[in-house]
Amino acid sequence: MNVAKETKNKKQFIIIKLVILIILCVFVFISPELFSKYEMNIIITILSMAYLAQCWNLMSGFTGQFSFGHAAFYGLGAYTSSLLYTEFGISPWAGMIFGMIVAGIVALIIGYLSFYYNLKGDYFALATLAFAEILRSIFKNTEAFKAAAGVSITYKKDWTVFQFSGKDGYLYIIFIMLLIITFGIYFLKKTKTGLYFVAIRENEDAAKALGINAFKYKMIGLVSSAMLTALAGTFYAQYYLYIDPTIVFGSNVSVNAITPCIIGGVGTVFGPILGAFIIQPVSIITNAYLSKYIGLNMVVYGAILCAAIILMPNGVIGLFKKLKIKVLARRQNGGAVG
Amino acid sequence: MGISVIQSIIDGILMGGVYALAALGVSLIFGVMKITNFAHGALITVGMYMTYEVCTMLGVNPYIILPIVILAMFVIGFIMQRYLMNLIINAPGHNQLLLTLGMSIVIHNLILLIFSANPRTVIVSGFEKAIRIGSFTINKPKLTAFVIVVVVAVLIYFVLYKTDMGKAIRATSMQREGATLMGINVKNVNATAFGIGIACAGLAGALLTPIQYMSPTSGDTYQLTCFVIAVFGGLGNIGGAIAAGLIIGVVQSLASFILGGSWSDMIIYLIFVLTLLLKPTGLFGKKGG
Amino acid sequence: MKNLKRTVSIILTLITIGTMFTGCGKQTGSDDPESTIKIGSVHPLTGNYAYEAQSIINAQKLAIEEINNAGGIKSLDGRKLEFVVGDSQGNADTGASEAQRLIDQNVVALTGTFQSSVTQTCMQEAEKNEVPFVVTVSNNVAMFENGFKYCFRIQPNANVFSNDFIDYIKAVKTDDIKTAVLINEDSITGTESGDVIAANLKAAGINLVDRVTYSASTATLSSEVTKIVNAAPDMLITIGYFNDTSLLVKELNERNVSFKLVVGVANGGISDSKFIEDFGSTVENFCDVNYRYNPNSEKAKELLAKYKDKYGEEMSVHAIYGYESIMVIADALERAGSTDSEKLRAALSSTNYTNTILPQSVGIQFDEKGENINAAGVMVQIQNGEHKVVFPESFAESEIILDK
Repeated sequence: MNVAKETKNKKQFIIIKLVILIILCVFVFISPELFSKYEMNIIITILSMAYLAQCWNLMSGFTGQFSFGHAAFYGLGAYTSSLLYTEFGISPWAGMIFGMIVAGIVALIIGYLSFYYNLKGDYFALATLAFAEILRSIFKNTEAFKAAAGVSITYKKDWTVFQFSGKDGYLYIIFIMLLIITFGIYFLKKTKTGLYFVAIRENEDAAKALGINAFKYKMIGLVSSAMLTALAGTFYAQYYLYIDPTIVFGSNVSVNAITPCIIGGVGTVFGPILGAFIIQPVSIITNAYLSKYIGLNMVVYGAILCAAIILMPNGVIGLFKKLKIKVLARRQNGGAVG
Repeated sequence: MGISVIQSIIDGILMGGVYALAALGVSLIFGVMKITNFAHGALITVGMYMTYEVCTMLGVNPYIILPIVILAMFVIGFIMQRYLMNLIINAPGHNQLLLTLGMSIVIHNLILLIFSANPRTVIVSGFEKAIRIGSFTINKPKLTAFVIVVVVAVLIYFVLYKTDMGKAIRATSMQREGATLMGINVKNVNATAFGIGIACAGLAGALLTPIQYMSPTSGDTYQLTCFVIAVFGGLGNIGGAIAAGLIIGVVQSLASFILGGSWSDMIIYLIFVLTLLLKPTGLFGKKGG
Repeated sequence: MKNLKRTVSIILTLITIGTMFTGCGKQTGSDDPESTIKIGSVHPLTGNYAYEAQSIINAQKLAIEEINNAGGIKSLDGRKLEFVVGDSQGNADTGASEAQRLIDQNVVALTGTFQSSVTQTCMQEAEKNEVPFVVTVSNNVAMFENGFKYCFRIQPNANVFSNDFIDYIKAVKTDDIKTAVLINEDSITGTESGDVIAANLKAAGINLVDRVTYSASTATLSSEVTKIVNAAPDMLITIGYFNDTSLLVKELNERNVSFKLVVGVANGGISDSKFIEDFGSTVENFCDVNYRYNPNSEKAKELLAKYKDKYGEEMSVHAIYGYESIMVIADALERAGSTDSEKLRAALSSTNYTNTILPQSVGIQFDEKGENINAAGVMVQIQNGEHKVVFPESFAESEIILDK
């Protein structure tokens, strides 16, 4: 293909992307008119799951360091902003930033310890799980953090304290959060940092041999992921207005951060989003139709998860890519022969 | 006070035996297949419920049906690995981890589906009173469990070091490619090792049935403890897993006594993190991370 | 890449639309005089508490039938009640989501949820949407400290149980009961009550020798039992659920530990008939300060019989609050003469429901926080393998047995 055609395609390409983005934004903006509150709730749940999964994806998908304890950062974000609000009256908008800082510091500690001691693969995953459980234990047993009682936020129709009377405000915020992080990841892929991340994921030793400071970049991945995850924690706290150690530090959160990526495609830009949009409806549908037999809905859900892992090891996006390669190959061969 | 501490230690050793058995399964599976089995806790629960059902159906002492449980769990483990997990044996490591996670959700909820959530235990006649030795009491179900664990550990040692299959398992865990070249059927070896690991989990569950009350989530509490012990003892090291189990059992019991039940969990996780950071090959480990 | 992106966006949109349809298709009620008045109920129908949840739902259904058979809500032209159920699955988020779903179906009031964390999020949801919420079962005191206007609770909260315990024990104990050990599970339930009791036991003339906490999911309580044995108290106070209390009793029996008195506080084990089945004579004379129906109430006895008739098993104590929650809402609807949420809320607020089957000599009345100011627990004792109320005297079926 000649250069002129390429640039023309690129331009078309960007315009198409912008158009799709604008359509999406409009769609989101008018959703409150289209959907009932319950349906909005589902959409918000999906978007927040997608956001959480993207945060996890940023670190685990791109640098290849699998974390099983993202709940640690989620919980820290939720508790920091909530306690600052209930105890000191600090608006969760500001509390959110503090949450990010706290999560960032803890991530620095966890990262430093883990990467300095060269924890990899399963060991690293288990270490992160242990850290999350340690935090859960600490928050459950410490009076100053309200221990097992959890933190309850008084309902106030006041956007300055990050509360909205309807679902609209929450929808817009989580949508914007998701957009920002997805853009971030999209552009990250094109930067030096992004390349280094992938290099470390594919072969850390080779990357180090090439002069990449693996320690530094793994830390960047972990800390940025942690800080963004903390925001998800604050969002949850402000949406449900109640948190306790098991809800925000529990393994549920860590699993929810991972499963959309598995389904959609780990390390891809849209995988986590796709995954969230597939899993939540599956979960809701299985619950709606199979709740007669206690536990059956989760059996089906788990089975679908297993099937996805076996049949689509690189997620749905991975499947697409494989198909695309097949199609392209056929086209090329077809061209050569015929 | 001294007596209570010793009592605590005794209780810790007895429970530690059961933990050790479950952890042994984790260690073996990781040693041979490099898989962290997230469904281990769920499979312990399966062992518990299986024992309860058969016991109640036949109206016998749970210890009599142990061989049935061991065999059944071995078969379940073998099939799980051979026909399910084997499908992605060549996929990236994290996928195998996640498959076991998915399996744990399925198993956990299958139990809920079949047995419902009502709490159950098995009261073994004659075990209602503990044995008194001086100022110390020894809980009978726990003592029996301990004895059985020792026997089983010896048996497993025998299988691993004196039988051909055992040698094949050890060979595969050391050098997978080399093992294939030697004509070892790696598929069967993997499945057998996994089967033994799951049989350990199931047996641990069976031994726990007369000790505690079970609910579909009972096994979850053991999931992390098993990993802690397996790592602490050195993943792949059978003897290490047993020793580590006893040590952790005692630590947990003493921590419970001195600090209170809620904080004892923290101590276990801290030990875990310290082990991972300072000596990931474990106290007695021989395999690296 | 271009094709990929397009495909992805299309799929995203399709899935979103698909999600739309999973939620769609439910009829919405109206103020049409022909339509039913919907009352919602959110409980953990799946998960670990499915059994207890089902008993609450059963009792609620019974209440709805009773009211409908008696002619519906008369001040609203005899409109009938309709029961709509949601499954919280034991999760706070799912519970809130179900609450939202029921609210979208225009329920006039919500009830629930058996678990404190789920009740909290549902209460927030109800308050936001200005839909009255009546708690069926949930102990936690803190959740009613939020200034909610739309939320009400009939059952005694943890403070009431704890204070009742102190009052009752002071009244019934004999002089030889001087020391006690308190053992409680470490979640909010055990901690809230435990703290109040620990602080006030001295006032009842009892010396608290030790306080032991444990995690409800533990497999062994041997360390805890050792501590109890060391303290050698006259009385054991236990706050916990069925599983853990059973484990405790099992291990106490193994070591032949006995006390002059064992009292539970809102104990999920001691007040359960299965507990008696499992432990037989070894738990004879165990007491529990818990919620219960009024054993002297004819209406209560009829209800118990009706429940057993229809569902083939004994009505649990939790179910009582399911029944009362519907009764209170129906009573408020009658007085409000409208399904308007503000009018219903006001009617609930001024409730004085005297036809109650609860052990209260006065009616159910709510304070400005929404708590039933006349809520009270009773002390039951296991006598000859049965639960008998022994205190307060106005509701007692039998006298407390204190010498072993």
